[in-house]
Amino acid sequence: MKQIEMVELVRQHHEHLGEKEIRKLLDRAFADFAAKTEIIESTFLTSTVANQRYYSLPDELIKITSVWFNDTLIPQLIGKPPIDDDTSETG
Amino acid sequence: MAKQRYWYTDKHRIGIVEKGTNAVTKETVTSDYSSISETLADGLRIYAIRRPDALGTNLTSTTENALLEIPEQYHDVIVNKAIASGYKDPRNFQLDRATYFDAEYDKGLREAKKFSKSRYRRGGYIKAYDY
Repeated sequence: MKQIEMVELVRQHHEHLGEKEIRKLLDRAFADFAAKTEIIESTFLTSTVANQRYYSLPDELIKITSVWFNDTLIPQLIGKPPIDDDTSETG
Repeated sequence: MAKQRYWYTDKHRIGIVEKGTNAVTKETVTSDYSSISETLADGLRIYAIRRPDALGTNLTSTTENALLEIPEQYHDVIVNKAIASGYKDPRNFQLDRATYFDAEYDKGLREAKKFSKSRYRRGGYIKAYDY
């Protein structure tokens, strides 16, 4: 379905809404749908820096399914280490 | 021997640590986990679930990411959610219609969840033969 068809279907019920408002409703519906169905999977690559602990995550990320370091699957740590590291993060 | 690495999340960032023995001491606390010691180009690969990109302003575009990433059979499900939200707008508030379209959305959502979970799995079984 093209965006114009979706906008027209919504407009059949909500004549008072402009195109921009309908697009916002659709964007929110897309985001809700993606979060609840976990239908869009992606891979994010980032470079690591020695002695840097934190790396920014993309805003659109909902949930991490697995993490690989140097092509090796690494496990998730339950909780946080008792000593933090204040090195600045990059993305 | 290669060190075991671990990851964890902290707010909207990921922390990567490697495990040693009494690796770091600060004040009176000792931790086995220290920041990683390697600089590696594209060394970290994160598989994740994400939101689609926001819709663009070109209504007739056929390359819209959000529309391509979500299978077409679920586009009308998403429209139902947008219609339901529209009926919750104070300018056109109609609770019965909002409830109806929310229920339609939930119905489609259940199907989509099943689809999403089974996408990369193929059913099958091993059949025994006597020769």
